[in-house]
Amino acid sequence: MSSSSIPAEPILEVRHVSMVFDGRRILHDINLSIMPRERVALVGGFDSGKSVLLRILAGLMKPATGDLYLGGDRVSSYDPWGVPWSRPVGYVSQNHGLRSNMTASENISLPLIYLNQMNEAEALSTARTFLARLGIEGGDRRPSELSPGERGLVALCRALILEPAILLFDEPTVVLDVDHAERVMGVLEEMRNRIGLAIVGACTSESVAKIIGSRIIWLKNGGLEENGA
Amino acid sequence: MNRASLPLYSSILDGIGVARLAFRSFREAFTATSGARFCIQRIWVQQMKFTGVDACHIVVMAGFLIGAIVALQSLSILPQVGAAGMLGKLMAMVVIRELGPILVAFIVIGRSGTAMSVEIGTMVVGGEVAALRSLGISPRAYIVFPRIVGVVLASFILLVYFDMASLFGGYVASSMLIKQHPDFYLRSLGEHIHLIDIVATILKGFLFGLIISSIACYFGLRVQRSITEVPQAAMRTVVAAILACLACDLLVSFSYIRI
Repeated sequence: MSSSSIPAEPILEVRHVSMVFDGRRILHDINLSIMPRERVALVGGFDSGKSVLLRILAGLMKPATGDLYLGGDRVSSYDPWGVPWSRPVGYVSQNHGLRSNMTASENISLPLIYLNQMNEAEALSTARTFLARLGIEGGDRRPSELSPGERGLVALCRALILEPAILLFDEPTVVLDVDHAERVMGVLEEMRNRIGLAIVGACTSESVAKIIGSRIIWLKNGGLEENGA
Repeated sequence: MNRASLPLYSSILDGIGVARLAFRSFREAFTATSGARFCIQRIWVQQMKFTGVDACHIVVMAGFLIGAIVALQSLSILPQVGAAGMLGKLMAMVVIRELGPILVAFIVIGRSGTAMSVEIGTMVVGGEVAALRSLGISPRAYIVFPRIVGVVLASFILLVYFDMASLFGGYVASSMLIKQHPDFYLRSLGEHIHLIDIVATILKGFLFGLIISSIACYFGLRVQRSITEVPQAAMRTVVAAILACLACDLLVSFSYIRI
């Protein structure tokens, strides 16, 4: 995708979204639009509903009320065991969701083989190249043999390998340690410029929010409070 | 009272859910791209190895012992009523048609059904299923379909092994323990085992494999957030799969008798 073909309309939008768990209100009347190339940081306490909002944005959870739009199209159906979108959304959960019986390279190459029809050798080579860009050695290790930070980076690679329009990252703190922050931000910046990647990161710390987001949004009492950073 | 809390009502809903899951997994897998089929094939081969090859010795042992026990018990009673020649008939009816498919199903439920529901439930809790969905990989095509195919094929193979081992067990019991002439047992089997017995047992093997794997995947995927739901999913799989296999057995046996 060339820089000039990046659309000016929101990639992802939620309107009047509310969520209730076991009678407890988690989110209330949330309205949020994410534009191409935008860097958004969602900041909130441990129980503020950041992860729930990210899952709703990723199409993985149905909100109690409200609508979800991807590229201007309203998402009308929700299938708990199906694919939420016709195109991939980069989503990295807190537990990273790596396939435990696959190596790091195999985890990253899976979407390339499954969706992009790439042959296995080529997909593994692409995966190792991407891992090397983020400074990860030893793509032949399984998730149980990786440190939490490395697991986060592998999950990030897997989420970005298909070049999605948006990256939703739950708790990126773990991959933004001193050694990797520069490389990670470099890769994300390159993809922002090249394909218009928008980034939404959910974190608890304002200092991390300032690293990942040019737009910082606080989640308090189930609602959003916003001010520019 | 909430209707969903009634056991019969929730069982019917679960039954519909299992059937829909199996049907949609087949539909999605058959329309999958070549790259997806490559990944799916790898999983069903692994599943077949786990369910079929790794359980082979258990099934062969169980089959041999059951065949020997049935032959032994039969030969202790049949000669008293002048029906020693009916041993083959009994082996066909009791072991090939009924005990074989049911015992293989119980072994598959105990080994693979529980393992599948625990594995898939753990994948849900660990965020693997959500990650696959966000990437655009359908859990039905990638997780459910290959497991169903693997278990169905493995159940069929295990059933063939079980039948062969049980007939051999019967032979050992009648010719070595009871000291009947070997020809007596083989002739009796040849006279009373018909093609329809083999068809019925194969049909049951396929159906039980389909039922067990679909139920295991369904309860595994129904796990929501907590790791404590995973053993409950395994328990529900065992109970539902046993009852469903017995109900299916009754239907097939009834149809068989009508034929």
